[in-house]
Amino acid sequence: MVAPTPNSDAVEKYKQDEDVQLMLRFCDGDRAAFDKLVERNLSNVCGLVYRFLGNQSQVDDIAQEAFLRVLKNAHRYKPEAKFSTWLYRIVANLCFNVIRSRKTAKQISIHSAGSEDSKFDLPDETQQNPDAGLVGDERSKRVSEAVAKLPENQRLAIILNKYEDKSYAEIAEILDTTTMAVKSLLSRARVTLREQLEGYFKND
Amino acid sequence: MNNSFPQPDLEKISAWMDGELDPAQEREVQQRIEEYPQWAQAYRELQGLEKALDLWEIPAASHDLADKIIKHNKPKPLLLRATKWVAPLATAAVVVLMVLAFQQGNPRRTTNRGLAKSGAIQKQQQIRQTDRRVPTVAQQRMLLENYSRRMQLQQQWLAQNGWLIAVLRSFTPDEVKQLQTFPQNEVNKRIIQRRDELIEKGVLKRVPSRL
Repeated sequence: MVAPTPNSDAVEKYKQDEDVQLMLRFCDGDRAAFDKLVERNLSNVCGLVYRFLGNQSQVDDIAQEAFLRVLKNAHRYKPEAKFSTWLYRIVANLCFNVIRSRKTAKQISIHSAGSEDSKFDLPDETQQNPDAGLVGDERSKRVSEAVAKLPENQRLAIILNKYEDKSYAEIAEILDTTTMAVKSLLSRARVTLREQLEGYFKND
Repeated sequence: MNNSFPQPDLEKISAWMDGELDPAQEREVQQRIEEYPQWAQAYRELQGLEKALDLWEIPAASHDLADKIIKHNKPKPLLLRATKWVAPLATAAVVVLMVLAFQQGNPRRTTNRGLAKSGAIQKQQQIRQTDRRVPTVAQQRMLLENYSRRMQLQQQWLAQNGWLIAVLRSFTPDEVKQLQTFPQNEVNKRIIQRRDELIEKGVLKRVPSRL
């Protein structure tokens, strides 16, 4: 349950991870190893970004930027965690930046329009999942809308846990928090989702 | 009627479902789900939620995205990777060559300070007033002066930077291929190593004191 620490045992443990081995080969000058890393992780990164931002238009840009950061920071890489944990942390930071800029843009827009509406903390519904109707049925859309309404940390925690099979320790490392906090985030997310999607799972 | 039953601890049930509890806690949650209907109900609802979340579909990643990313992983040309100062050096060389070419094509419009000091501009003005098709003695002298100055600049530039060209030319195609796989600091090291070898062999005589 404790987040991995950068000791030699941990390093040896994570060296068993196939992606870590590829990353270490890439650090040693094997360029093909990076191509393989992209091949192995790209669809997961795209899925994570899509689910977190609910916006297909920014998926490609963020996924590309995340891998470029891997390229640029390869010389600083140390196998102190699974490669995907390191990669998802980069992706999460990029997504949080996008959300921050969306909020700023929305605040400026509302302020300049002189609106009394001040729902600054609500998710940007105009950006939510415009393609959802195209990729799935009504139920898929309802699930994505319910997840989009969760606070950012809860949303990312539930996506990492449910769709990326990340343990509490890994989620804690990606979100830069503790496993206890992750446990609480996930529980609160599930309570909210249970209320929002009640009709869906009770019929199943 | 259920007031005597402990309320379901959703955090614990949730963590139990994720396999994140220690064995003692696992047993406790399992026991409570078996014993108390409220706990069993909460567990069923969370199970249902998991099924509902499975319904969320996502579109496939763009077909060309992987290629776009991998494109950034191609090695850069050796000359660009060799050192940080090669690019500014090349720019400076181009500027010098352009200036020289300009002077060659427009000998009468030179702005060389040395020529101005020696009164050459006054001579130029006199030349402009005469027939431009046949060079006069004064024009010929000035062309020679320009040519001499140009040669001097070229020699200065080569004396300062020509060693790098000589060093890079000394690498065989196979060595260049090998160098392209090395990190930048290793490439620099190899260039300096080769420079020293060429100096030892007497191929290179003058090199800058520091890189």
